[in-house]
Amino acid sequence: MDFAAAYEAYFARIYSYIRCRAGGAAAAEDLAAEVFRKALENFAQYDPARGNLAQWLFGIARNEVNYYFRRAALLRFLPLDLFGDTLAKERAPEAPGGGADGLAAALRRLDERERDLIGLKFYSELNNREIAKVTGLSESNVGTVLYRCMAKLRKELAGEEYEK
Amino acid sequence: MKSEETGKELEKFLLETAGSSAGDLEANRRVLALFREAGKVPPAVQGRVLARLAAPRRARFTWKTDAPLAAACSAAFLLAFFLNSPRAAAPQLSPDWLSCENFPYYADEARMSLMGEDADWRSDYNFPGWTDGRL
Repeated sequence: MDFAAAYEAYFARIYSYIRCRAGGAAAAEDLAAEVFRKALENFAQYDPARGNLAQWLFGIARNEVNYYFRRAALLRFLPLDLFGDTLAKERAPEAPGGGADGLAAALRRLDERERDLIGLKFYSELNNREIAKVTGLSESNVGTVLYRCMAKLRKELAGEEYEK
Repeated sequence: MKSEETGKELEKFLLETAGSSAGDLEANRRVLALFREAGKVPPAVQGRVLARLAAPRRARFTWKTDAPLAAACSAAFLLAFFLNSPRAAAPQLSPDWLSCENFPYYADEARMSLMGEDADWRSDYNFPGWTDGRL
């Protein structure tokens, strides 16, 4: 698969995953552009023996989002952060695509790791083993977190208060 | 998402997390539908990102490529700072530093000199005579 085909096939999924985690549309667009720029620059080095294309692209996306959060945390720490409120708003996840408020509220109840894994599961459609390789967690840990995450989402979206 | 059909992996995931509960399975499918709905991206966004990929990338600082420059700038700054610090300044000596006037022999002379007295303070005219009391 060449880069153009990969872009067409994966853009929506990568963008939606980023929005699931990072929240704001503007930030998601910037991050998605950065992800595909890095993919374009390193496309010749992609090795199918090390993992499928989805794993590779979502690995880049995950690293980019993590880096974005680290930069945001550093800016909040520094007293020169004049845009802390803006960043805090950007940090709160909205529903990707601007849709269901219920989904947005449910995503806000999840912690970072859960948002990461559930976003990977639904948008990358990788299996637990592949997600474990991307995230560095064990396969059983991924399965457990996803199981609990789905239970939380079911309860949230059914209107019941999830009690931790 | 790539198609309207639930991928095999997702179907398996929905079944596993629902367990044996049909109600939970239905709820899982609703969750999946919400994620699918949220995953629809406007075509304009895809076009904009593609345009950004085609545009030349603006310069960004990266440690790998810019570390030598950063190190050189830091070294130049530190060198300039230490060379211009007050401790580094050579003591100012007047050309006549060897003059006897600068090395008073007696303690009183030294004290008078340091107090900034006139150069002719030792003149006899400044010391009233013991007989008539006049300067």
